[in-house]
Amino acid sequence: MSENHLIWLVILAGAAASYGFRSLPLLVMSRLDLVDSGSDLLRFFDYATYAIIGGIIGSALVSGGELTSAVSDPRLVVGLMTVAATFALCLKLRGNLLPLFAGVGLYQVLSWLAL
Amino acid sequence: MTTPAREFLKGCRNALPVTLTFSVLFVVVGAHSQASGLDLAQGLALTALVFAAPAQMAATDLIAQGAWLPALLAIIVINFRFLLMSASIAPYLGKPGRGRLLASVQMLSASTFATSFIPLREGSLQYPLSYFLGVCAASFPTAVIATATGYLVQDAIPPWLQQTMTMVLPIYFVTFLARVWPRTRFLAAGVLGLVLTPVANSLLPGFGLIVTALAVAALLMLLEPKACPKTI
Repeated sequence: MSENHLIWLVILAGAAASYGFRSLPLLVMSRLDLVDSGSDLLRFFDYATYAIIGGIIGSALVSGGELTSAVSDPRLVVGLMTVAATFALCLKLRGNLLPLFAGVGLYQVLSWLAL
Repeated sequence: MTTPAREFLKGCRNALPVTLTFSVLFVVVGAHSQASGLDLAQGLALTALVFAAPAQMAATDLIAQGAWLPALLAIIVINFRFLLMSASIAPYLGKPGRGRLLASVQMLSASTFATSFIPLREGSLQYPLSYFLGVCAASFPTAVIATATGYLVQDAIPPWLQQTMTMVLPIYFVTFLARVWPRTRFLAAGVLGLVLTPVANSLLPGFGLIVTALAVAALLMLLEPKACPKTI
């Protein structure tokens, strides 16, 4: 089998697995009436969702995914300060876009100052 | 009057930060695909079919080394998180036909998930799948076009701008967490996820997100007051 064929095999097998992960729970759980029943399972997934959102933020702050090197990286401090300031701004303002642009601008300014 | 088209357009509008981020992030992914020896069709197929920048970056690195099986395993391990995201969003998408669900689910990514989940959970949408499709319609084609652009025009974006743009999405996600204030249990879930996921990722590479999310959810369920479970 040529290298080109092997690359396609990796892509297609990876795509099939990814599609399975995306579709199986959706197909099973869309048949259940969890929203109206306020079930434990729904609350469990609600908690998990917010943990995922926080986790994505945390993973982005630890650039490169290496925790040990990130601890001494000033970009982590800049990122955490930006996250805290954006959060505080969101509590004062309605909507998402203004805090978003303010947060990105703040990150840029802090990066220039610290890095 | 609310119509499916209006909620679709609302989803497109709310996906603006995702579109901005993808337009930079997938340029980097496309350039990486080119540098790793993939042809343009393979780079585009990877984005269209796998649709997860972290998995694509890891896989193309390993493909460049001729490590075919590890490349496949990297995609499987990193995209395993979609199992939990799909399970979380499913109850809020209403009861559309199976065909529509199966067609739309390919565009579920961490970003389209997070952008859709909070408005869906708030229950303010009459056509939740239309909203989700709007978010996806603005995000998914952007990723594909940006991949092609990155493949054809490597190093088009200066590193400082890349670094700033990669922060757009996490900052946007902070605005989602702020919206749950003052529901402290959901906020606690977000903060615990933020702190613990990088630690878990360093211990269990690829599984940090899903392991942390499950552990945090289990912990908060255990800590719920038994007498009044709906006071969160």
